[in-house]
This record gives sequence, structure tokens and C-alpha cells, in this order.
Amino acid sequence: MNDLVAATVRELANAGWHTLQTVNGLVPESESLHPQWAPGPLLKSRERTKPPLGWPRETDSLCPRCVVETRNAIISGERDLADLVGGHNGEIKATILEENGRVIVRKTCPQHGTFEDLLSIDPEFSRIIEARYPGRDFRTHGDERIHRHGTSSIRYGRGAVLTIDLTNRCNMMCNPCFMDANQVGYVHELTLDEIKQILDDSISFKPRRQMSVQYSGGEPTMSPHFLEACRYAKDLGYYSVQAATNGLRFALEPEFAYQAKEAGFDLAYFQFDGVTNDANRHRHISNLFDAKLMAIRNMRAAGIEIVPVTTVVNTVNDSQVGPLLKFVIDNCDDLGGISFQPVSFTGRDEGISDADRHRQRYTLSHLAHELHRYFDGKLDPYRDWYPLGAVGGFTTVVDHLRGAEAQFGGLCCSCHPNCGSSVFIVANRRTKSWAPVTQFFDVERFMQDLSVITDSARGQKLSLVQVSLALLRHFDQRKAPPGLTLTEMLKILNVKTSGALMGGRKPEPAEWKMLWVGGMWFQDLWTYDFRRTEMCVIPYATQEGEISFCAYNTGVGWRQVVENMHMVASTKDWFQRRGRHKIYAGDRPMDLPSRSLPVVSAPAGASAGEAAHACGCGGH
Amino acid sequence: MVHVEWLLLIGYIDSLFAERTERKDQPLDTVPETLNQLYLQAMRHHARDAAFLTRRDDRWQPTPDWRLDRQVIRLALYLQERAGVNPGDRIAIVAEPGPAWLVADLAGLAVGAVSVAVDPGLPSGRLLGALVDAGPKVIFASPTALAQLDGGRLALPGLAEVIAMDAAPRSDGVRTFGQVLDLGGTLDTAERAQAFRAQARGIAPDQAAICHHDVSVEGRVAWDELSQGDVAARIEQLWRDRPAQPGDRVYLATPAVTLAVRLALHACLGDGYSMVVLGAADRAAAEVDEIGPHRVVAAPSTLAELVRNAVVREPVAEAGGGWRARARRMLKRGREPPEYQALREALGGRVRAIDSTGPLDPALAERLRQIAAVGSAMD
Repeated sequence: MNDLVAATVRELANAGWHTLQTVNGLVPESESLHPQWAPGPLLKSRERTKPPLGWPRETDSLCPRCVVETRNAIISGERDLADLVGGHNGEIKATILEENGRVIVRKTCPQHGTFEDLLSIDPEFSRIIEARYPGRDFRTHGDERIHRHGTSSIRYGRGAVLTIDLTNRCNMMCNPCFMDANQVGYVHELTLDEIKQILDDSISFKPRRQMSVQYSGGEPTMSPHFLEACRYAKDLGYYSVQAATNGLRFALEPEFAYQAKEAGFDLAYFQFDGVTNDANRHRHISNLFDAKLMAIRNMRAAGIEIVPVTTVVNTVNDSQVGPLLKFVIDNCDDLGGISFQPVSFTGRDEGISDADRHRQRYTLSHLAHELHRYFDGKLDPYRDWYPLGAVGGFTTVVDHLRGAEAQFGGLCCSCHPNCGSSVFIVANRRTKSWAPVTQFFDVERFMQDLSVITDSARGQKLSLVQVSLALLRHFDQRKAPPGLTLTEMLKILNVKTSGALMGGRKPEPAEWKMLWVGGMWFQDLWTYDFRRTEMCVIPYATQEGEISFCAYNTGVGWRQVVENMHMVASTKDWFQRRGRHKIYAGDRPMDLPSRSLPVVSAPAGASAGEAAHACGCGGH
Repeated sequence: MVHVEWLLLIGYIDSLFAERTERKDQPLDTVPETLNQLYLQAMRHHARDAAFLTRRDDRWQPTPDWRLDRQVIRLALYLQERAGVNPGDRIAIVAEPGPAWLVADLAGLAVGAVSVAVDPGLPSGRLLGALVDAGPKVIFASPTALAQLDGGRLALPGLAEVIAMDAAPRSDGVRTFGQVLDLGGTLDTAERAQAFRAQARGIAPDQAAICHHDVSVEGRVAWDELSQGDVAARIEQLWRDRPAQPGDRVYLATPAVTLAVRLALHACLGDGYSMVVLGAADRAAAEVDEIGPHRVVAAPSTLAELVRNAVVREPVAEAGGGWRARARRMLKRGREPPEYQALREALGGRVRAIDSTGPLDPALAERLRQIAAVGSAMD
């Protein structure tokens, strides 16, 4: 399709949109439908609440010292768990403010003094991200049994990814590891019945969620119930079954990848720290990158999608960010995107010195600017980045189209805008040319159109027409990379929808592929903000209910509390009764099946020597 | 609303990664030298949704290949590392046919042991005698067999463990099948699983594989023993005589596991695309009607019962229904004689092959041949 035709289509769509909206404006808004899964009618854009945003602002936070003392007292039995649920242990006020061209958080504990940390090196970037946040999802309803964690309870939304730790055992010995796998002296491992109960509970209240399940650990594939857990989640109707994995099992046992896929496993959230063996040396396996490549090949052969996950630490592996994204683009046939996770100083890192913490602190604004620098301005921090919660606008349309009879609400990632942001890019499988979607598609205005569509609530057919017009009128082929025509764009969508868009036949792989580049910044005790935890969309599902990701791994430390309450054996007893598992460590190479490699290529001249400071378990 | 589907997906961030892979639907056409290799090949095929179906809680429960394979690996690792079973040792399975029976059989074979099937319906004395003759290292026993065997408190020379096929944990200290799989689960690491596969693949064709204990009506005891290679050769013959097609359902209903049944089971499991439905002989008519199998493997008495259900109904004068309904009735009438149609319907409607696990009455065989190829699983 040449540019002239594409421009004509665009202008016609534009005219059609405005004509429709003229009529739309003359008719009063219809009432939103009330689906079975929701606690009330679908929210119109003006009904969506937002947490306090902008700065200066005050929020509720934690004293990094008081919290550790409280947690230790509970684990040792000196204090009761009820104190944690009913009290305000270690809670203090914090102020978020702009100072010297940066956004910082400052808080003072009467006992331990003042704490300060960096939230953003670019206030303008952060302001834009917050401005693009469409608002919160429903308040939860009937969830008293699941969300019962006092001030750490989740109060909003339906969640996007339900994380379940299957085991704290691991086949690696990374340093550091936020859960201290293999070292804590006990085994915490869920039985299949417990996993089923947790999954059943997660759909027992409203809004009834259709979210992704992400099995984590430890190394989740070490759990004997991994495959059955994948199957059960799929049978329940969960949208996507994922695992935060180091991938060793898939590298060593190709058959396992096929079996996992058949059991329902969709996506590997894949620990991936660098594009050479040397860049992975902090994991203490000298040929780990080779193993990673083998895991990628085996998983792709079985049809499992892969999203590499990298924890980024300033002055440690921040220079790997650009090469990693380039690696993903160069191997876009095999990889679906990449998730960067700015470091969260938790677990063993809670004891980090102030000097090290300030030096190693990395924020989402660092990420946006580093990618801007590495790709010579091709990724624009102000144009291309959107909060993860922006997806909520799409979900609202989906919920409208699904109708009142739908059993589950759509996947809604409506987290706080400070929790994460992302860029979508399109890449050519053959030529590897690429561009951010926002370069040629006006996402901002498209989101506004979606609000108009859902607010007016004109029923399925009219909404569908409006969405189609909105899609067409915001695609500008002249700004797209050469070869990415409107037809190619439709092909991308057609592949993603298994051919439903173009007649239902199985589609040929499109020449272009859409990739997700995300930044997810988990909190630690210095950056903690209760306004973020209460709208967490990646809850940890445990025997003690669903707990915000940050409240579980950081905050008052629910992880240690829950694991101590439900440990199944001491490590020593476990090994005696069940046998030891292989742990790859000691900076030695691991034996890999001898097959020709690679199927994916490392970028030439990729820098070596920068060890990522990521934690285990797929890089949370 | 086709278009709704793609719009529904826009809101799903994960769908932006989703691309589906195709499953293979080509049959396996090479027969390896050993039964173990055949099994491993089938497990690599990834072409069927379920290896077999069993009825539980009034529903058909599928056991897909991945689940079957993992259970076999786990049980095999347990047998090797906890029960000390070595190649050449014997394991005895005293149980009715079912998923656990099959897993035990495959796990034993995979570690190179000789799998001995003993009829759990034997009287206590004969059962004990058969087990003494078999000299197993491990016995898998159903609850009824276990009751016959003094709750598993046996003093057989060389016997390391008795495993109960019960679902619920037992108070007498005998480990259940579930507990053993659970213990094997933590042994099931990538390294051990791969080592297990390599070992299973390396078992020689002349290694004894299955041993069958039969007691004739006159009380004579017979032991049939086949090597890994023998079984593979017989399966190849079965495949050649009665070729299956992708998606075939094989209905198997037999109260006891005879040698013929074992061969039929391994042949279906090993082709990589047939789904075995493990039915109950006393419910065969209803189950066949529900499943609509392409092949039926059953005892002569069960087949006779199915044939008795074939009742030719008088055509009812159906009025109206439109030209499509009238054309359908005319086509149906013109295709086969009514008695053939009745018989076909009694056997589920699409049966192509029927295997008897014992000698068939000639008249019954002749009747069945009207609609399908008839043979014995032992032919």
C-alpha cells in the first residue's frame, strides 16, 4: 500500500470519526454495562480515581530500620503476627519532592533519623508518565479472606500477574538472591493441593480476574508440581501461564520444554543478564550464556514465548541495557521483548551502605535516557514511554465488547505510574530494522479516543466501528520505518490474533513483529510508598492470602513471615528424606547436551565484564 | 463476531507476544528395536491431547503424554534409587488395568526390569504361589490383591517393597502409588531425567521385558516371557495388520490384563497418536456409545454383550423435517442393511477394527466382520 493510499484511508477514517462523534455528542451517554465478574458497572473515565500524583506530595512509607526490627521480632516469636496485620509497624510519613533537577523521597523516623533516596533523574519524564496514567481500576470487593494484611493490603484492581512461589529450592547459587535460595536453612514448597487452593481463591472475589499466573521461586521448574500447576491454571481459565525461570531445565532437558508447553506453559520470564558468558559470571557458571542460548532454542522449538528479564544496577551492569535490547531486536524471531528491572535493595541487600545504595540506585528515568543515548535518540523518553497502567484503557474497551455475560474481566495492568513504564517497538524479522510504535502511531490521541468510546457506551457494534476508525486515523505510514505499511501493520495484528482478523485462516508469520520493552521498578525500604502497594497488580499468592509484590519481598517482609509459618522441612531433613538436587555453582562450566549452536546470535563486540547484580528467579 | 476476537485481544499485553505453534499429526512409521525406544519415541511425538482416558468421578479424565511420561520417569527414578531395582530384576503388578497399572509397567520396563503381570483375581494361595515363582523385587498391588497378600506383609526372598495402588495414604506403613510418585518427583531433575532416558534407550533388544502369568481353567500355570525386541516386533506386526489413523480412539475394556491386552496397549501407546480409552466391561455398551471408538479391544463376552445390544429398529415414519432431513434419511437407508447399521451403532458408530482378547465364537466373529476387521490382539 503506497503512502498516498494510506494517507487517504487515514483521512477518510478521520472524517468518519468526526462525523460519528458529532452524532455521538448529540445523544446522552448510555449507562455502562455491569458484567457478572465486576463489583459494579464498568467505570467511565471520569469515575476512575487516581492516587495523589505530582510533587511535592506526602505519602505513607516505612522506616528502613524499624521494619527490620519488627520483622525479626515476629519471626522469633517475640511479637504476634496480629501486630503486623493490625498495627502500623515502622510506618512514617514521607515527602516526594523535586530538588536540584531530580525527584527524591525524604522521610524522617523519630528514632532512626532521616532517609533520602532518588526517584527520578528527570522530573519532566516522570511528570509525563504520571500524566499518561488513565486511573485506577475497581476497588476490590468481598476479598476479606484474601487481602488481610493490614496497611499492606491490596485495595484496588484485578491484577495482571499472580505470582506464586512454588519452591524456594534452586539449581543455581547466585549472589545476591533476594530469597536466599538454598541458604535459608529450610524448604518452603507448596503441595499440589495448596497450589490449587491458591488458584481457586484468586478467583473467589470481585473483580473476578483473568490474569496471568507466574510461577516463581527459587527455580519453579524444580517443583515436582510445576507441570500440573501449569495445567490447573490453564483449566481454571487463566489467560497466560508463565514462569520466572533461569531456564537451565529447558537447556538440559529439551523434552521438558515440550511437556511444559503441552501442560499449558506459555511464557518464560527468563533470567538474562548479559550477552556473553563473562557478563553472566556473577551467576557462578562459567558457560551460563551458552546454556541460556540452548534454553532459548529448546523453548522456542516447543512454542514457548520468551521475555528476557534483567535487573539493572547503576555502575554495575547499566551499560548492558543497550546491548541487551539490541540482542532482543536481532533475535526478535525468538524473543518477545525484554523486561528491565531497576534494582530493589531487598533481602540480603537490605544491609547495603548508604554510599553503595546511592551509587547503585537506578530508576526508570535512567533506563529511558540510557536507551535514548545508546540508540542515538531513536527512543524518545518523552514521546515513547507510557506507564504500564496505560493498558487499562485498552482493557476497558475489551470489557465493553465482551458484554455483561463474560465470566472474567480482561487483563488489567492498572498499577501506579511510578511502578513501571514501557515502550512498544516493531522490528523486522529479516532486516532487523525497527522503530517505536509511537513514532508512527499517535498513542496519546488513540487513548483519548478509547475514553470517548467507553464513556459513551454505544454497544458492541458501534464501539467496534469507532475503535476501527480510531486505529486507522492514528496510523501514519509516512512516519513508519520503510516497508511497514498499513497492510503489514494489519498482518502483525492478524498473527497476534491467530488469523481472526483476516478471515480466520492460520496466518503466515508476519515480516514485522511487535516487541515489548518494559521497565518494572520494585520498591525497597527506602523508596516504599503505600499508595503503590495498595494498587499492586502483581500480587504474591500465598497460603496467607495475596500480598502486594513489594510488601511481600520488601516492606515489612511478608516473605520471611509466610515462609517461616509454612516451611515443610529443614534443608538438612529435606535432603535426607528426598535427596539432594544438583546445584550449578563454583564458577565451573555445566555439561550441556552437545548440539550445534547458536540459533540466536550475540551482537558482535558486545561488552564483557559487566556482571549484572540481578537477583535469582528470573530477575525479580 | 470474528472482528470482536481481535479487538478483545488488544487489551492483553501478553497477547502481543503470542504466536502459536502447530502440532504434528503425522503417524510414527518407524518401529525401533526395543519396546523402550518405542515408548520414548512416542513421548517425543507430541501429537495427541491424551494418551489415554479413564473414567473417574463419572467423568472421562485424560492423561496426556506429558503427564504419563513424567509419572513414568518419577516412578522409574524411585524404583532405581530408592527400591534398588536393577536391569534384569523383576517387578510384579497385581492389579486391574488402569493408569497406575500402565505407569508401573512402563517404569519397570524403562529401568530394564522384567515386568510380570499377575491376575489379582487369583485365590490367595495361587496368588502367593505365582509371586513366589516370579521372585519380584517390587510388587505393585491393588487394594483387593493386597488384602489377599496379608496387607503386603510378605516374606519373599529378594522382595524390597510392596507398593499399594490405593489413592489414600495407608496406616499400615505400605507406601501408596501417590506417595511413591511424590518421592520420585523430587528426584525428577533434568539431569536424572536425561540419564534415565539414555539408560532406557540403551536396554538391549534381547533383554527380557514382559512376563505373563496365566492360569488355565484346569489350573495349569503358564509363564510367557517376551524380550524387548520380541514385543517391538509383535507391535510392528499389529501396526501392519491393523493400521491406525491420527486421532483414533481405542476402547479397551477387560477385567484382567492378559498378554494380548498388554500388547494392544503398548501398540496403541507406542504409535504416538492413538488415544486409549480404558473402559469398564460392565459398562461397555454405554461407554462405547459415548466414546465412538475406531477400534475396540475387549473380551469375547464383552463383545457378545455389545452385539446383543444391536437392535434393528423399525423405521419410524418421520414427517416433515425439511429436504435436508429427508435426504439424510434416504442416504442412511441406502448405505447399509439395517442390521449392519444397528450393529455399527451398538459399537459406537465408527468402529473399523475389533480385537478380541480371547477365542471368539465363529458366529460372533462372522457377525462382527460385517462391519469391521476382526482379529485377536495376539494374532
